[in-house]
Amino acid sequence: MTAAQVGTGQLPLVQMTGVTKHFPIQRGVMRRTVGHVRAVDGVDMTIPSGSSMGLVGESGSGKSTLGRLMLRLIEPTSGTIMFEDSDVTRLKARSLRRIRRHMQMVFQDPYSSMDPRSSVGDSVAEPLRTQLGLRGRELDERVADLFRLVRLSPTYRGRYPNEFSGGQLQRIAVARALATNPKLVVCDEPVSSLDVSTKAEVINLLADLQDELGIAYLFIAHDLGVVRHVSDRIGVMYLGRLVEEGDAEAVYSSPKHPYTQALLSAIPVPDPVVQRSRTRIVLEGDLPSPANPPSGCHFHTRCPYVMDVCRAVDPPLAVTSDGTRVFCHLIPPTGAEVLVPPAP
Amino acid sequence: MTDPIVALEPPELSSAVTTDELRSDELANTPTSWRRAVKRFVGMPVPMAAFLYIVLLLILTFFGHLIANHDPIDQTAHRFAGLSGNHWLGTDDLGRDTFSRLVVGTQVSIRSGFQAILQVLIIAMPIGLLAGYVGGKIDLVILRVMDAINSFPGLVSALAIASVLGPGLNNTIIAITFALIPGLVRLVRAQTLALREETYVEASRAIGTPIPTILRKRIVPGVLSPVIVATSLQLGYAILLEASLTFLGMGAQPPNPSWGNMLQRAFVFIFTEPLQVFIPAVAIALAILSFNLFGDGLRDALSQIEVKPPKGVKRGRLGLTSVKDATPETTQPAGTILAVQGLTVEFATPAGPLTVVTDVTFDVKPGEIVGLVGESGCGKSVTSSAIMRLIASPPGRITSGRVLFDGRDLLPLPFAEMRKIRGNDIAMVFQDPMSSLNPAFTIGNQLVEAIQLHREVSKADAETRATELLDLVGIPDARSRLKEYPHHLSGGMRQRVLIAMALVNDPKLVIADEPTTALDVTVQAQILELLKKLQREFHMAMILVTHDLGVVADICDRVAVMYAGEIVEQASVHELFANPRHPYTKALLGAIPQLAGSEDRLTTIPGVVPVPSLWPKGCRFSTRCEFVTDQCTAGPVPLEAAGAGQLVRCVRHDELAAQGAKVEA
Amino acid sequence: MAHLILRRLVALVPTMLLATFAVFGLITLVPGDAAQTLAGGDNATPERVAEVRKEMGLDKPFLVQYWNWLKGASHGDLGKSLASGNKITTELRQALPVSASIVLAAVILGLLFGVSAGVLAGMRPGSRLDRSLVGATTLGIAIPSFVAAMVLILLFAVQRRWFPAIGFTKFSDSPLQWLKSVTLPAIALSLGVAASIARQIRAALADVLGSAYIRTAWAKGGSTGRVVGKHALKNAAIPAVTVFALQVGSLLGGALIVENIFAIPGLGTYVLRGVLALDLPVIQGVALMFVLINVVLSLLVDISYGYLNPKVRVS
Repeated sequence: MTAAQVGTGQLPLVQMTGVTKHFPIQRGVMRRTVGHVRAVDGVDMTIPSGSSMGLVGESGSGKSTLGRLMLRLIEPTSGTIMFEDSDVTRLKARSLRRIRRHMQMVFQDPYSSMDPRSSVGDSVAEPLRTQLGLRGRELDERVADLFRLVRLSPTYRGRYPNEFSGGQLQRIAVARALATNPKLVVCDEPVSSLDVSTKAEVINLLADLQDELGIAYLFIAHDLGVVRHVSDRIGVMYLGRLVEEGDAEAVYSSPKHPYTQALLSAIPVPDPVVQRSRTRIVLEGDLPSPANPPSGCHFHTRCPYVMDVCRAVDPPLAVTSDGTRVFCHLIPPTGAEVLVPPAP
Repeated sequence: MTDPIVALEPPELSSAVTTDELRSDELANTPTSWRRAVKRFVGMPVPMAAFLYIVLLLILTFFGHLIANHDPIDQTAHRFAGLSGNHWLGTDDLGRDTFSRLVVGTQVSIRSGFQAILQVLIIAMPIGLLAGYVGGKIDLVILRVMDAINSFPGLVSALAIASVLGPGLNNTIIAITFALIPGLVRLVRAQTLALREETYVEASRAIGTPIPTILRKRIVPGVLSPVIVATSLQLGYAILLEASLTFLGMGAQPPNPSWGNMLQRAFVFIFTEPLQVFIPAVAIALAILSFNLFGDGLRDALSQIEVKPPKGVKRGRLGLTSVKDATPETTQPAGTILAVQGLTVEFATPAGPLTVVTDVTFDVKPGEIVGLVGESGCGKSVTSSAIMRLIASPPGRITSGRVLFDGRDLLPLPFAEMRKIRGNDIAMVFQDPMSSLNPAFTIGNQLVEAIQLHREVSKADAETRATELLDLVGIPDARSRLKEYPHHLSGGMRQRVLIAMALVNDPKLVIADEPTTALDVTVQAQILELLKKLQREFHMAMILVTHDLGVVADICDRVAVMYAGEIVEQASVHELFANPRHPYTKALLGAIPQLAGSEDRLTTIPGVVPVPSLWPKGCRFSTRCEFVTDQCTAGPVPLEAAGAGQLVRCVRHDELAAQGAKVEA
Repeated sequence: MAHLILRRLVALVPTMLLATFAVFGLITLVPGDAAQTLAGGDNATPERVAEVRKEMGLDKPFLVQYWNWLKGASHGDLGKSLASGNKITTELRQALPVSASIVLAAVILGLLFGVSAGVLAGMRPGSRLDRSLVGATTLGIAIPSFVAAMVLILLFAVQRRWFPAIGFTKFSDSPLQWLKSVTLPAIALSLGVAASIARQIRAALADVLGSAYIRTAWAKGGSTGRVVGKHALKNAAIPAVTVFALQVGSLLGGALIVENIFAIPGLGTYVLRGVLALDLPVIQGVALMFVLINVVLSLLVDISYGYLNPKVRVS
């Protein structure tokens, strides 16, 4: 049973199978490789067309790398990435450039993702020029439309990035990503550099645009609250691996993996009555280095329920009754629902 | 003189206001266009003078023979004739007119400078772009070759090449070109490499823009401005090399005049005719100086950072915020450990002083955790630094107010007194654990220093105390950590070290400025639990500066909400979340993406947080408030008492509270 | 440490080969004929020239010549000077200490004035003191060392006869005279070094003083001396070290002209004579010397980086 069938039943837009990215660690003058950072370590993931996948994890979890792999902005070490019916990992440079019309990206910090030397109108026009070959009046009109689409006046297009607030500029970055009517937009922490009041603006915009245009998102964030507002499905990553993936409602209301449980409980709720009555699962220790991840289940060094088998054997995939895919030894792969024991 | 490129120093940073409170204000409305750079350049007197001098040199290069009043190789005058109306700068040992030789000789220096630089640009730009953008083996080979050329001083390699090619100006120029190439290749390569990693270049790749277009539109424009600056500096160096080589007999050959061979010839007579040495020497030095000054000016004009000195704040003592009028001390309000009253802080900007924190008043009781919450630019961090007087003057200055701590006003204190309080009675924990520890010293060194600054204890005792504290904040194997450097530790561990450092002297008050913002969620949870535990054990008071209302809800007793440099609402934590009175607080609470209730749309606040120069008169939230009326903008709004010990800065708070009650009912 | 030195040396082998090979190739392009020169110039008989050519190995293919030279060099044999007939190693041994004493004196002066001016200016960027020091460094960088040398001669050897205008006295002959003969050339050379270092330290210090860890040091209750002298300076020195190394390299170039002006028999004078006489083995030998000096310099830079910045310390 694949995730696509579990999910909305639509055809998969993106299907990643066994995707791995190992960054070599090079030392010395001869740039000898002395090890590898396993940024992404064998991830299977499906994004049905028009749906939105939230990807959460802490720093070093490999979530951003996974997003870039999906667009092949970096080369995967192994695995396949099917976008509709073409394998992105095997495309030649030309076809890859062409397919990027259908898959775009919104980056974390709009001030660094927009060229400070180009006017914002020029940046929004770039995909229209290179992908659609638009010129002159037609180009102008399309740029103006895009500004209106993200609720900004087209009169702003002659201005430079440093004249905008973070929220405004991020909306312009969204306009650039939507210029070619893509089927998939990878949003890499699109609101984490913004303030609360502007954050809400961009989140609402992204949610509205998905409803209007039927785009699929891979929405990467470390803030589970943010992801919640735009995602149909949620994937949780830890040290390069997907540890849990399922329907957003299911993941939030009944997280299966001990890491997901800890992550959710770690976020302080902005309500003193609720927050002070919660019991927080405080994980011991630090995130291990992705250059030297623990054996077996990567989470075993910090897991409150660690067993011997966790240290030795990679946890198998288990699918629970609510359709969540979990990789944890506590949950047998039979599909039977087994609840994680309460915190000791 | 080294090849100036390799010795380029970073652009002027010191005069820039680095506080995030002023972010985007100074940078706004200034696109990095050449037009702006030219405008800024024209406003700088010294580089402009240098530029005019360069123009003069260029005129002499093209029209020198017209300006010269004698034939530069005519030997008919008296030898060393001295200064006269006919021979303005005298004559040389062969009776040639020095002024004419100087003027005509300009051509040699300037021409060789420009010609060499042009050749360098043509060769080095593509090589540098290739090495930087393609990288890999090609880059490695190019770097090795440049290293090899660079292993000889520029003058030595130029001399070697010139000697192989034989004397003469053109060969000298080739030699100079060769000596200058490595510097520019390295510069272009480094700049390309840096730009290639920029997110906006990655964005262009994600768009599917072809590489040649990326190079042309995204990389080259970024490489260009440092290259232009470097070129100007290299021109000076090229002129120096030409003069040196000619002085050694390699360049322009006699009898044709050049500054270098004039110097060479005159040097023989230095004891009797020092003036004839002095004249070409000054000409050479002035030319180099003008190209250097021109280049420095260009760099400043092109830099993103405002180079105009900020106006409005006088230079204060290093490490202590200046205070404009230290009002006489008043008595500490009963039952408080800290009372901040009417604190107002201004920053110097090129346009004059700008107030960033206005009339901030709040107090902290012993053992209490007070949250100072707001979005970036609201003045919360400035407020917390101002209490410890840690804002640099310039640009910052406290213009009025009182900071009463333990019966004393901190604002009139001299540095020596303030120093005894810092880290001893009041300690701080900063936002970014990565950069708040000195990378060059061990953890132990920094902890021991914190203890010994305030206590006369031996190093061994201090180390024992440091180990205890590291233990207390949950650092495993504390003793051996003392010998480690900050970069050995993770972010969470470093924050623990900083917390330990704050606690070494049992402070009465800890000011924590966004202590968990830079950390991952699970690590943030650890640190929050740690802070709660320590606060229970030590009973110290704490000010927690944060933008995260979840963190506030978790650990604060009371909260002050800041907006645009003012406190807009102050209340107990339960009251604030249950009954927010100020429209901003209300909107802020609605705008937080939460774990539960995802189906609701988030409340948005229209517009953006105004920068200090654009703060509205009257209520500063009035431009974004949905309940705004004329009375809101009429004048400053006072902080008024409302409800159970709450304070609100809103003229309509009673009205709105009543309305809210009605709606709910 | 030994490991670091070894690795550094190994890494520099390709650079050294490349550099010496380039010099070798360059020299063979020289229009003059070394054998002809050696055989007695234009009057030499063709037989004599051919004999000399064979004797010197100049009839062999280019690569063989280079290989033979390399073999010799690895045994410390750099051949004989064409002009004087002396062993080059002997001549280098005489010239090197002379240059070294001037360059070292210049380095010490440059460091002394550069660091103190840089610290004074960097502590108070924008102040009157800062602006005048920055102005002085601009002059120091722009004035070529040979111009400075001439002005110094004019002022202190011609007008006031405090120092000798030309010549060099060995330390072993008369320490006082040695000091006098070294002073003016060293000052002339040190101006650029001092100015560059001052600028670097100033910029880095001004930058570092605004950093988070300096704020931590103030917040701890640190005194000015401790915060600036301990916490800031060690970090601000890192970029200055790079510039310093480059400056020392260029000092050697400057020494070439300054030695010529002061008529000092150092490396500069030696290589200049070699270049003018197209004395191939001499140029080759001095080139190797420069490369070696560079190796030592970059090694020193690496070691001081390790001290200043623990992050790059090699484990």
